[in-house]
Amino acid sequence: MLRRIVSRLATGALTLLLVTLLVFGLIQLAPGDPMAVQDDGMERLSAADRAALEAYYGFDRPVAVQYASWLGRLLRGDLGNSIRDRRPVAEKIGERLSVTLSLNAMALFLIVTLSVPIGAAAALNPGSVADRWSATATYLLYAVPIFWAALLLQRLFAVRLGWLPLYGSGGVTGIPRVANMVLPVICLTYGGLAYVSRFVRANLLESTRFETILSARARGMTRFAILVRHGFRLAAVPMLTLAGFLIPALFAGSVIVETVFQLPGLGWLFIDAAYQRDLPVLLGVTLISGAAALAGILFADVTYALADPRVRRG
Amino acid sequence: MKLAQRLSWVLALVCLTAFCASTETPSNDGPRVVRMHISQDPASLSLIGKTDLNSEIFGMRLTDALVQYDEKLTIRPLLAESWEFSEADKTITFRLRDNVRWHDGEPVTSADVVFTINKLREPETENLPWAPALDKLVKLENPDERTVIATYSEIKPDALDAWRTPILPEHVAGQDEDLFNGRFVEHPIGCGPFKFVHYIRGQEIVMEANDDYWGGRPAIDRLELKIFADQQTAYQAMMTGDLHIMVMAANLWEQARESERAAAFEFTSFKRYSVYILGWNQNNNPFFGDPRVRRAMVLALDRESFIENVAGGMAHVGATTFPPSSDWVAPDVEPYGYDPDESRRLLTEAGWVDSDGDGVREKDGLRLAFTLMVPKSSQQLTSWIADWEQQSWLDIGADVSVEQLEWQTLRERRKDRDFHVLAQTLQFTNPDMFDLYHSTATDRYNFWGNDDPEIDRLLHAVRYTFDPDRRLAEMHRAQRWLHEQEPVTAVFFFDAPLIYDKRLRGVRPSPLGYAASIHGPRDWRWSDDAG
Amino acid sequence: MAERTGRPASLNRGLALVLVLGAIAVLAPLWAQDPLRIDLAATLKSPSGAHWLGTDALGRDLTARIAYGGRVSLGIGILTSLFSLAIGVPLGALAGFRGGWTDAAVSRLIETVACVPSLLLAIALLAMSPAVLRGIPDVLRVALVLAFAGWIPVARYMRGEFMRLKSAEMVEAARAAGASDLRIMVRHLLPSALAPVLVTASFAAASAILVEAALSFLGLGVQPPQPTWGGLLSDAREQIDQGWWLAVVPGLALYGAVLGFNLIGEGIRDRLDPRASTR
Repeated sequence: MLRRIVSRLATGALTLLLVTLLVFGLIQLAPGDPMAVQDDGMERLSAADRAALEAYYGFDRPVAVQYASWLGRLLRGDLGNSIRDRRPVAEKIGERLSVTLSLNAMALFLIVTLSVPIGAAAALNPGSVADRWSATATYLLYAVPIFWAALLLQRLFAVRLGWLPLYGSGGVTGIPRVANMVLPVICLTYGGLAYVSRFVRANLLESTRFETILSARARGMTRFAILVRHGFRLAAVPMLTLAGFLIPALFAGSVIVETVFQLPGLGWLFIDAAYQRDLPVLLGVTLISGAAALAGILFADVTYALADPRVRRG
Repeated sequence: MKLAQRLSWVLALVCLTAFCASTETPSNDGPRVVRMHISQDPASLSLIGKTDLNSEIFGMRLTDALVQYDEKLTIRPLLAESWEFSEADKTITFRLRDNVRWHDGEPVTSADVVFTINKLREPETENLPWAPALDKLVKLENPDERTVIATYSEIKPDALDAWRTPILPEHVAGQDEDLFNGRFVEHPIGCGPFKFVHYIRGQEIVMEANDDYWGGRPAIDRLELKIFADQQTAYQAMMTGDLHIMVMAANLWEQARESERAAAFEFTSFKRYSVYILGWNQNNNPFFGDPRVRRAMVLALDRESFIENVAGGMAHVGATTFPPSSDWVAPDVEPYGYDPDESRRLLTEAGWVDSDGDGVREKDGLRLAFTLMVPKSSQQLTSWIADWEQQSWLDIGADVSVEQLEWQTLRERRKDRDFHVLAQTLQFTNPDMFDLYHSTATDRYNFWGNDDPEIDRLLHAVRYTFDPDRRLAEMHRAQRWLHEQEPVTAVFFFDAPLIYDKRLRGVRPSPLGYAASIHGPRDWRWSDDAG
Repeated sequence: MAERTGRPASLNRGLALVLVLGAIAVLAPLWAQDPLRIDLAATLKSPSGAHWLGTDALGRDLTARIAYGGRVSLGIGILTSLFSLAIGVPLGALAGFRGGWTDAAVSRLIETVACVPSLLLAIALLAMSPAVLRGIPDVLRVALVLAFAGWIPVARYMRGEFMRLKSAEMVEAARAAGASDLRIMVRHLLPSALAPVLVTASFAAASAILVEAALSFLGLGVQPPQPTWGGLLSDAREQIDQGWWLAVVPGLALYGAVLGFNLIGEGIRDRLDPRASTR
């Protein structure tokens, strides 16, 4: 068992390496050199100045050497310095991590807590009105672009009613305030309800103990309560695998949420870096988000292996 | 049920705290705060390293330059109380103001000026607005504490433009080994009207009034630069009072004027020296080598109607790239009007005729089919203009495709002369358009392949003539040539729709922005009556 | 439970929705006005006889823009899912059937791409527009970029199916009869594995349409003047108080398409195998 886990972790590390290689390779495809980006478009840098800067940043070396040196520094725990403001990438990521983490954690938590009852209600009577409507309603939510939902929520709760802050993380320390996170979290949550609740429904129906569970009604609980309770327990393990894939999806969604709500998080940092060709920052953010996604997948794999006797044997 | 129960409790709690926290609303009593909009984090707070528009806005508040533009773009004294040009010696001698102190109490001296200029000219500082403009500077001396002498290899009347660079305290910034990661960027100090308080990345930069400012303490107590990348969110922030002043897109400005909160705002606009141009590629290009074709394209555009119906009246038609609202413009050079018949006639005269009846003109078997290259922009107006130009040219028999390119890609293509027509915006601070049109400026901004001894002579004269009247006369001649040849079309000069809290007084925009002149937040004040 | 969950109704409803929207879009040249025709004398007009759904800020007919926008939006959805199938099916099948090193290599590849958030990947690719993507029509380019990450679920599913199926008796029988690997994969395994993969492909189409809307919002989607539903919606965001009609109908069209593709996916899944899950 232990060996399995260790080898899984090793392949995980390999994957992470491939992720950085992929991002590094993609950026090399982009036209224009990072130095050109530093000029503001007025073409004021002379050729000599540009060459000097290229040497300063090490962009004059062969691509393979650049990658190797980045990797070498990474092993020493150094993510390099941003090209945009020359601050250490680790510091830039650090000050934005808490916003993205709390945003995603809250959204993930809400998606799971809301999806189980919805999925359970649907599983209660497959094909029933409740089932059909929950499907339609969640898919309708899924189809609302985040930028529109954000705008409508902002206008209603922040501008008209004045109940919630319109933008920003609110905190001076970098830790976001709860009130500031309510609207962003809603925007990040509603889209995930459809797939996860359908997933819960499918898993409940699939469960061999489905009928047994329902017969527990004898103990005086409503069928729905039983289903929700068992929904959590039954769906827990398969849901873990889903969580591994939900993390990158949520992270992607948080790009737009962060832009609209002016939340200084990693997604926003990434977009800026992509436009600026800020290679060290792009690599750093991808590494962190990749590691988070991978951790989700690995955690799911390992838990799955521990929980499921079939996998354990195999 | 336990788990679900626990979860729903947590959920309820989360919502409860959210609503409780939001009941406290910011009050306007106490310190007099102004919150102004900036669109992005400044590249750096180092003031001279990797500067951009937003770091300039911050820098002008934090510290003073030797000189600065006023709202008419006339150079005014700031740290330098006077200066003297010597055409013969090619020098500028600055006399610094006496008794100016940094925010930490140390005196400002000529050594600080020399330090700043030397630092910003180091290539690693990557200073773009000023360093290239100082490339003809050969010697910098400070014979005494209040005198700075700059010696050039070539001196021109607009040389002072580059002396708008913010001055840094040598005793702080000079201690840092790395300008970008030292004590100074952590907590920058200057000698300007506002002191740095704190900076939260992606959110705000907060500054407070400098009680000891040599020009008098500002009337407001706090200035907060609020960062909003999304215009729509910034607009909503204006509506909730989280922002007091911003420039917004014309359609949002119009929308704000019709909103319930309209009474709380002052609506105005100011003319900018910022122009949307079309650059016609003449380098081995089968279409635009002939000035008649270039003129035909301009005549096909109903610019007045576009300004009225789409741009909300917030633009002006230009005859050349010299801003119509500036003192440099030649009054006898009229912009081309909308005349599609004349446009068609010119094309036919130039040999472009639709001989096969497909609606597109041909010449020697070549179809009049070209691409309009535009930078990708989040501004709707920019893509509307491109759509409209495409349609207008289709109507005179040109098959145009629009190619929206990300800025860096566009620059590569521009450098390689790999385009037909290029649309972009330019901003001017002075009438020196040498780099845009001179035949030797091909490594600068003359991507169009403009090459003519007449305009070369005029551009040279404008750049180096000190006598204002003679200089103006050369400018006017240059404009007549440019209007006739039309190497670049000045389609629109944009106005900036400005909106601010009605109680805010002393806002005096300049062609560079509402906070880009010597009068900025330091002259702002809150009036107590709401009327 | 199978009898109770087998509801072809959702499949029919989904197909109907997509087909109706598709027909409106495909037949647009037959009935709609020119979607690019600018009329500066009729900007931001509310719905009327001349313009059933009103006009936009440049006086262009919104009905036409929505109809033509459907060609782009639905096109991106369908192309993305086709590209995803084209990459994911062979790779997944090979990995599942061969096992061993092939499987290890493909699995690493899948995991690698899955670890980079797909929208980030698309943003990076479109924002930096590498030379290889230049010159390709917008619709194709966006679809290709979306498929770059979109093939992952397809391959993953395919791999699982082939792993499960290859031990089946019929494979042993075919092999005994001297059939080649390729023949076994194509003739015997593919038909039974392909149908469930269509479920994934259908969901992929729905999500591609939405991602295009997100990309439009970031200014990276299909470029104007070409209308798309996502683009129309993100434009309308700036004019929320000036023209309600600008947002409502493109929004409904987007709803319809996304819902339609999802219903198709659900329908196929329920019909084929009520026990299948989204995994």
